[in-house]
Order: sequence, then C-alpha cells, then structure tokens
Amino acid sequence: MKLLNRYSRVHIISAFIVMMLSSIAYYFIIQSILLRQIDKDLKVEEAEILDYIKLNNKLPLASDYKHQQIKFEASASNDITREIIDTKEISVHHGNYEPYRRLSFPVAVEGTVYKAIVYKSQVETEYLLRMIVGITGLISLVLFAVIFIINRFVLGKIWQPFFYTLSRLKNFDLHSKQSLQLPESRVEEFNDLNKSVTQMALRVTKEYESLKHFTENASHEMQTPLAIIQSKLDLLIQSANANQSEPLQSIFNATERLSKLNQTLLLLTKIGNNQYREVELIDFKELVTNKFCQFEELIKSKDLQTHLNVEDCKIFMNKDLADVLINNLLSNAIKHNVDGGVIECSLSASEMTISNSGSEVTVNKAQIFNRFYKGDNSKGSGLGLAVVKEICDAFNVHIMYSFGSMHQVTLVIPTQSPY
Amino acid sequence: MKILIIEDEQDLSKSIVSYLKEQGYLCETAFDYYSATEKIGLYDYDCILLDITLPGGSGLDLLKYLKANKKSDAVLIISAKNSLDDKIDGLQSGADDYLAKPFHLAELSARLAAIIRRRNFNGSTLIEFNEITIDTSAKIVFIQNEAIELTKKEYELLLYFIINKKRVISKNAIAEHLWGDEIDMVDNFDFLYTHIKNLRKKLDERGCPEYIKSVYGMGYKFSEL
Repeated sequence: MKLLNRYSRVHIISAFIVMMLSSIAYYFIIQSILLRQIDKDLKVEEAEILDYIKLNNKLPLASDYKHQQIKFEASASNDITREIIDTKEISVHHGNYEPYRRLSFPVAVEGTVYKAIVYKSQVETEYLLRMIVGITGLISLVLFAVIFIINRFVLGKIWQPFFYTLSRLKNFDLHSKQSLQLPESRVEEFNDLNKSVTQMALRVTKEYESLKHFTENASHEMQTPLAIIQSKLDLLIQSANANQSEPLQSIFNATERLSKLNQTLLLLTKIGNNQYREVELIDFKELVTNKFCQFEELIKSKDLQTHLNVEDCKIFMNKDLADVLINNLLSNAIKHNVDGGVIECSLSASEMTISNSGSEVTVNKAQIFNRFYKGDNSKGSGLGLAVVKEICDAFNVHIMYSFGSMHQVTLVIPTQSPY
Repeated sequence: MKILIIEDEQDLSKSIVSYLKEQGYLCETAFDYYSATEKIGLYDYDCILLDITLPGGSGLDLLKYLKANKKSDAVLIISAKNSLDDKIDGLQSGADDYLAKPFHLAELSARLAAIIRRRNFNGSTLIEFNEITIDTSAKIVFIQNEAIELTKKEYELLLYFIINKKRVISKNAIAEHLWGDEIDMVDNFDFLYTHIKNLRKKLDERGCPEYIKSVYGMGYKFSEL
C-alpha cells in the first residue's frame, strides 16, 4: 500500500472512531442534561401545585397546554407513590403518540387523596437531540473531506522530496559514472536522508570502481607470468622426450585456458568500464555470414547442418564487440551441439535468433547468462554468454534464452539507437 | 639480422633470446627505459621488440623517440596491456605490429619475419627451403619451380612451418596462428590435423620428403630427415 494511502486510511479511520464515540457520548450527556431540566420543571410544577393546595385548600384546575398537562385523579387507595417515568401518550394536539415525562404524586385535599399527574412533552428534547446528531454528522463529513484533501494534496507535496529521492535511487546506475545529486529540502529529515543516500552512493561507487580496477589490474598482472610460462613451454618442447609429451600438452592446454579466461575477464571489465566507446553502424547480415564462413571448418568437423535466413540488419555497436558477440553465440551453438546436429540462424531488422540442437537437461535457464555458470557437460570457461549479455546490455539489446526442441538465443535489436 | 629486445621481465627476455638465436638472429637485450634509450641511440637494429610498461618510462615514449630521431628500426610491440587503446596508440606511433602477451615464440618469430620481409624493400620476398620456394608478395608456393595450388590455410601453415623450421611447434601455437584466439578449441585439434594431412599430401605428390613430422602428439616439426 502506498504511504499516502496508508496515512489517509489511518487518519480517516481514527477520525471516524473518535467522531462516533464522541457523538454517542455527546448524545447521552445532552439527553441526561435535558432530562434533568424536564425533571426540574416537573418538580417546580409539583411545588406550585402543593403550594396552591396549601394556600387555597382545593385542587388547582387541570390544565392542558401543548407541552404540559396537569390532571388530578381521585384515588381509592392511599398507597400512591411519587414517581417520575417516561411514557407515551396520545397528544391532544397532534393526535399521535408522543413521548412524555410523567410525574405523579399524591395530594390530599380535605381528607381526600388525589393522584396528581403532570405530563411534560419530550418532543422538543427529541428534536434538539436530532439536531445535535445531525450537526455532528455534518461536521464529521466536513472533517473527513478536509483530511482527505490534506492527505491527497498537501501531504503529497510535503513528501515530494522523498519521492524524488526514491525515483533518483531507482534510476541510479553504477555503470553510468554519474554521481547521485540530490537537491536541498526544507525538511530536516529529508535532508538527512538525502545526505545519507548520497554518501552511501558515493561509497558504493568508489568500492565498485576499485573493484573494477582490481579486476583489470589483476588480469594485466597475470599476463606477464603467463607469457613467461608459455615461452618456457615453447622452449621446453624443443628437447622434450616421449614421456614428457603428455604432461607438456596438458600444461599447454591449461596455460591457454588460463590465458583465455584472463582475456575474457579483462574484456568483461572493459565493457563494464565503458572502454569501447567508438560505435559505428554494423552490418549484422555481413558479420553473421562472415562468421559462418570463418567457422566452416568447425561446423564441418561436427557434421552440422546450417540453415541461414538473414535479412538486412544494421545496428550501432562497437565493431570489436559486435564481432565478439556473434563469435561467442556461434561458437556456443557449435560447441554445445551434437554430432550431425543443426544450427539455425535467422536475422531480421528487429530480431536475431540462433538455435542449435542439443540436450536440454544440463542447462539452468535462469543462470545461463551468469559468470562462470556452466552446464554439466560444458568444457568452456563459463564466460562466453556472460560476455554476450554484457555486450547486449551495453547496447540496449534485449537477450533471451529458451528451449523448445532446440537451444535458442534471441536478440531483440533496438529500433532507436541510443547514440 | 640484429634484434633489440626491450623487456623488463628477464625470464621472458631470456626465452625470446634463446628462441630467436636458434633462428639465426643476433639478439641484444635491454631491461629498462634508460638502457634501451642508450642502445637505440648507439646502434641500429633491424627490429626492436618493445614492451610498453618498462621501469623508468613508457615504451610508447621510446617509439616517439625513435621517430623523432628518424631511426628506421622496425618495431614490434609486445605488451601485457592487451587493450585496444594501446594497440591503436602503438600502431599510430609508428610500430609495425602488435603482439599481446602471452604469445607463442613461434608466433613471435613469424611476426618478426613478416615485419623484416615487409621492411626489406630492396631484398627478396622469397623464402626458400630446399626445393620449396615461397613468394610471399604474390603468396604463391613453388616446388622445383613449379607452382602448386594451396588453400589459404595451407599456405599460411606452410609459411609458418618454414619460418619456424627445425623447431617443434605446439598444436596450440599452430591453431592460434591459423584461426586466431577467437575460436576456442583447447580440447579439439582434429581439424588442425585435417589441414596438416592435406598439406602433407600435396607436398608428397610433388615429390617432397616427409618434412612435417609429428612430435609425440604434442606438436609438429618441419625439418629435413
């Protein structure tokens, strides 16, 4: 849930609960105050009647006003108790039942006991209460509206720097070499946040840079010892005997693998460092066709069938990297093929797919573009497709791998050149 | 042929000297920037093997020094800095070729021979080995003055063998020379074998003896019996 929505919801729910509770409390308090007022009026009436009887020694006249009626009933028994109750009577004026407050008490006039009854209408009270509840409801509605508007517009504005920071962070790219710049805010917390985030980004960038330099330097430093090993091996085989040939061949192969691995790591680092900046319009059709020719011997040695379906396709890319890209894709398609298998390659202006036969079980689709990921039977360095992915990323080419009946790699070529 | 090897790694320098001496080159070495400048100033060389990173200075500066002093020594850069920039910088500064470390000594020897051949305008572009003659400018091979037809790969293979004659060349070095380092085939030299077989057959048909000898399965040697 979004922060502002959550905030609004909490706000509105709590306001609603408070309003409800206070309305209920308000209702009962007002009701009891009004009731007390009526009771007080009834007692005043009682006192007046008693005073009248004491003074005149006769019952006052029964009266029937709109809100107050006084009746006297002759009573047979003497056990009339004084009581105040709520009752409903037919209103003389309105002809329907209306709530009344009734006070009955005994009065004695010349030895006869009467039951004096005073009714006071509660209609007014009910009306008042209804008004109060209505007004409360209205105020609640206005309050909700105000809260909603504040949350919707004012809060959004207040949190603006936060959302700006968030969007900048989302777009923050370690590769881009652009430092994270965040504006000053009038809110202290946001300034704090921006400062921490900027510092963190700076630290991360520095770490990343030093890591990249480390990889590059390490690869460079390895070249020289490798060169020494290789040169000594070249000299060693001049005088080697039959017994030494097998270990020597192993050392040759291992050295070559190490050297290739090293070169590939260096290549990955350089792509990451954006060191291949010169781009030109590459004719993929020509490149792909040439690569198939270049690999002809390998293809023949595995007895592979090739199906080429190439149309014009041009893309802005670094020339060397484009070469490496197609090279790795094609050599993968050959390497991971079965003897007598098939390679299919189709190229259009917007898409390139290269498929090859081979067994499925050995490949984990999610990790296939990861560095040093290898299928169970792979003898490669595990870097070929990582390089491919890195090159694609650098030139906004989307790459996918799937397995239907064949291994298939699809490149979606961007129509708009980023350069 | 006089060669100056400017390389600060003495082990590597020794290997190069050892291999090139056998090829008949006269080798001198320099291990740092200053001794290199000294030697370049005093003598003329047919070719200078130049490392870029040197104690005391950059090999690229040495290259500029050579050009500024109108020295005509050929330069082959051997550098660990296998970066495109270095390669372009080096070639633009007047180097004749660029070889990235690690390299095979046979490859170095082939590149060196090619540079000297190119430089040697007045001299011959013919390479001879007994009855075999290679015209490197026309890229034609003659056996007993009769041209034979070779594929591009077979031609390159034969030239590589003859330049590195009497030396054992590893299969790795041959594969890398013919296909570059783009094709990764560490565990599979089958199709290298096919090319060698075909070349052997063509030489055999023209009455050449078995010059190409397999050495314990790890490489080949081109030599007389």
